Amino acid sequence: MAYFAAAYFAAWLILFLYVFYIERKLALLGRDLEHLKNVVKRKKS
Amino acid sequence: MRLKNGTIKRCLGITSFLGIFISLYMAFFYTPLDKNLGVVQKIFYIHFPAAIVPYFAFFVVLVCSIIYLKTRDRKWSKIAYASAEIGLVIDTALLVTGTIFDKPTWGVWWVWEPRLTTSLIMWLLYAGYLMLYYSVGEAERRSRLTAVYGIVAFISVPISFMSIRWWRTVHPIVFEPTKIALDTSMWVTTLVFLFSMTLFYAYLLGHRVDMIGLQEEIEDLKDEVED
Amino acid sequence: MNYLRHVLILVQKDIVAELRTKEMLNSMLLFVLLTMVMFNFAFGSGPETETLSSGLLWISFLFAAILGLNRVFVHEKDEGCLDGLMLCSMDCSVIYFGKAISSFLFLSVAELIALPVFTVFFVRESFLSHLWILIIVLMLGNVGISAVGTLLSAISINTKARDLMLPVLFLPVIVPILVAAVKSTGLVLSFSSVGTQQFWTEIVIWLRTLVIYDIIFVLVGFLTFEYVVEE
Repeated sequence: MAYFAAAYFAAWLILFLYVFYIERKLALLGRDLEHLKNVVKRKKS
Repeated sequence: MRLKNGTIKRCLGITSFLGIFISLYMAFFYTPLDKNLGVVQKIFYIHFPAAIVPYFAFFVVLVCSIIYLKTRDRKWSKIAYASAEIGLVIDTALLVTGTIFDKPTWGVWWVWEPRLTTSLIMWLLYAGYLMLYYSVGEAERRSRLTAVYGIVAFISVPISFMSIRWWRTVHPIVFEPTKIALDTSMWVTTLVFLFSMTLFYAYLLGHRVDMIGLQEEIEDLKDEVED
Repeated sequence: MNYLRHVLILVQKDIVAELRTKEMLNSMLLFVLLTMVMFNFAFGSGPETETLSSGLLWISFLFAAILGLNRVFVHEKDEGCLDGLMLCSMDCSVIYFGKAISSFLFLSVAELIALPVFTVFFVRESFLSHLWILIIVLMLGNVGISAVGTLLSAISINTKARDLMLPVLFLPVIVPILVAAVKSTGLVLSFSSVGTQQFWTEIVIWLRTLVIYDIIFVLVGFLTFEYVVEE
């Protein structure tokens, strides 16, 4: 039982962390992109 | 087009999560307990798809690398890299569940058995692929070099498997892998799990490719700001 | 015919350059010897280490090969020789074969000198009657190592990490050749304790693995090399 729980826990932990990483990074990148676009716009005007 | 793309991704996400919940339910409650191994045998349902999907993912790397070298369309190299990274993550899950699965069934944490060893070598190959990706600055050169390595790496996987199998069969077999006899409900569960895991892979792939696109857009904008 | 002549000219150029500096051969040779001595200190010497000796031989050759392969493109890249070669009106694969053949030669020379030393240090029983098989194994192993190593060396020279990159890329790819070469070397070293029939059936399996591997990787290197060096 302990092995069973450990295996499922570990596998889902790895996958979950990866999904979390992707979502978080996507959000951050989206924010950066907005920011940079504003900077470019300001520079041009 | 953009809306359509987003809708497909959302659908993929929802169906893959639903599929995984259904397959987890099936694995826990629908399938009977194994006579010899008991509850430990249920690790198999997650172990099996985690073994197949990396092969598939790395095969995608190979195909996209070849297409990239032929067409020089950056889209393909993005898909190749994303697929390699996801394959590596699922391969990690496979190795972890594999070692945990080995202990109660074979009595040791690790057996240098062909399939397990090949998964480990695959892990090392694609970890090298990721390192290569991050140690080249220019996007065009990076795509070219990783594409070539993606081809070399995938080609060495089957030969590794064969040579390790010969290495094992010529040697006296210390650990006889226990044959897992599966009845119909177990097979159905395994296949459902495999299917939803593949969907999950596709869902992650879409997101990861988007992420690379965003990163490159940001790099371009940064250059523009600095000029 | 012209193709072959071009390859040979490149090999000749590499040999001349190596004979002037001798940096690759010297470091490879010393490295092999050092590994053997270190092995002796790490594992002790006795009957129990004899079964490890075929592994030791290939591990030391493999690491020496990495040392040499790291240097294959360093001068070409830094002195701009590679650009010059690319400007020549010849197929890119000529450069690949020239480089692969010259690193094959250097590796073979280093092994030829290291092999007697290894025999003196670690082998108790004479295997002279089967020496020719060991030489075939060494040659086949070298073909694989230099074929895939030249390609990966060209890749790693183009990265920021340069020579740190090569082992990471090279070692997992070379696993099948290591398995096959170590197994067949072990068979040759202990042929007296293995029955003749068993010896031949097993050695054929491993030599076949080596040949298949060599063919595949020479082909892959030949087909993909141009994508690595183009700029």
